[in-house]
Amino acid sequence: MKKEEIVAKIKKAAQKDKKRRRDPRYRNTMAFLVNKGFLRANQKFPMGGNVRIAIEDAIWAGQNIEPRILEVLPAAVIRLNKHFVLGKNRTKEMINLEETINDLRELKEQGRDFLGIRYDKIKIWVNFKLKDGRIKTQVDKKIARNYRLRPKTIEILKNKALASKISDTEYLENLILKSNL
Amino acid sequence: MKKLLKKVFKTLDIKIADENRVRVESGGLLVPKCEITILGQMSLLTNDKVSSFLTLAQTGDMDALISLNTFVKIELKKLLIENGLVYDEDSEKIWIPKESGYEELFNFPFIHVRIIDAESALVSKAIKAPLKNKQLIREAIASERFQGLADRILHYGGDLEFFAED
Repeated sequence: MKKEEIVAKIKKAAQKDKKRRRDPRYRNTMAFLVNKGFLRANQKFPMGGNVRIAIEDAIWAGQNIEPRILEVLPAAVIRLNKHFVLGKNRTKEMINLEETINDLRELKEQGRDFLGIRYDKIKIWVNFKLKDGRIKTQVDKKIARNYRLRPKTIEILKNKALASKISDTEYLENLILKSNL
Repeated sequence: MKKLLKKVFKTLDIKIADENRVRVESGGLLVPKCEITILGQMSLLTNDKVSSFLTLAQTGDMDALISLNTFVKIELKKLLIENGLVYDEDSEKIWIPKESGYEELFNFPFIHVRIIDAESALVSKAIKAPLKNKQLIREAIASERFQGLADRILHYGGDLEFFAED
């Protein structure tokens, strides 16, 4: 094919891309990821209220329009999981996403790639500082645990924490971290 | 993005000035003026001429060639993280077309920041990461603002037909 013919085809394809970028699956996913600070863009993506993104839609938008969505998607699902909805279809892409997420949750140094994107390129965004400071990184996320302690132990813990002007949990965590130095 | 980068590099410049004051007093070697060349998506996003008509998105990573001493490199990485950005450690591996040009972005007393010209950044993307940049390259060619783009892609052995496929 001659260069001029290829360029004419490219122009037609670019028109199709323009239409695709109006698709709500792309716009909603981008709005969410840009607003949360996972992505930056030179377009405006207005977002309303408490949005929930279907993971299938985000994958579609990443595969068909903006591949950078796929680069940050596993980290976004881990850090903001309440905003994502899992579809009923367990496609190979979904299974791949779950595998990568499992490796990230276990803080593995080396893990499984996601749809051709290297694990080390994905991992960066798990502990990346986001615009919204309330969103914790994977290493700062707290995990709830129940421990049964004697009343006397609890009394000592409360008094020590009060004297240090910190919470019981913080006091306990500091003790454990110090003992691990 | 340009505003954010200006803030980062201005702060870095002040940090170098402070460090040099300490070094003057202690008789140490001064930190020389550094040159930073921004590549990749960030070079396009900070380029006012192209970001007005290309649809651009990027993660927080910064591809840049840095001629710095260790002090500056460490401080820059810290500043990028504080501002929601990350220095891409693979930056040195980025392929740059040999005829690339550069435009000045900022010039502070201790740091000179420049960006690769937009067409060369696009050629690099088309050759080394065509799948990731398929729509971007299509949009750039269709815009007719980069007269040499298609020819340069072909010149470097790129598959122009790939960008015509849906």
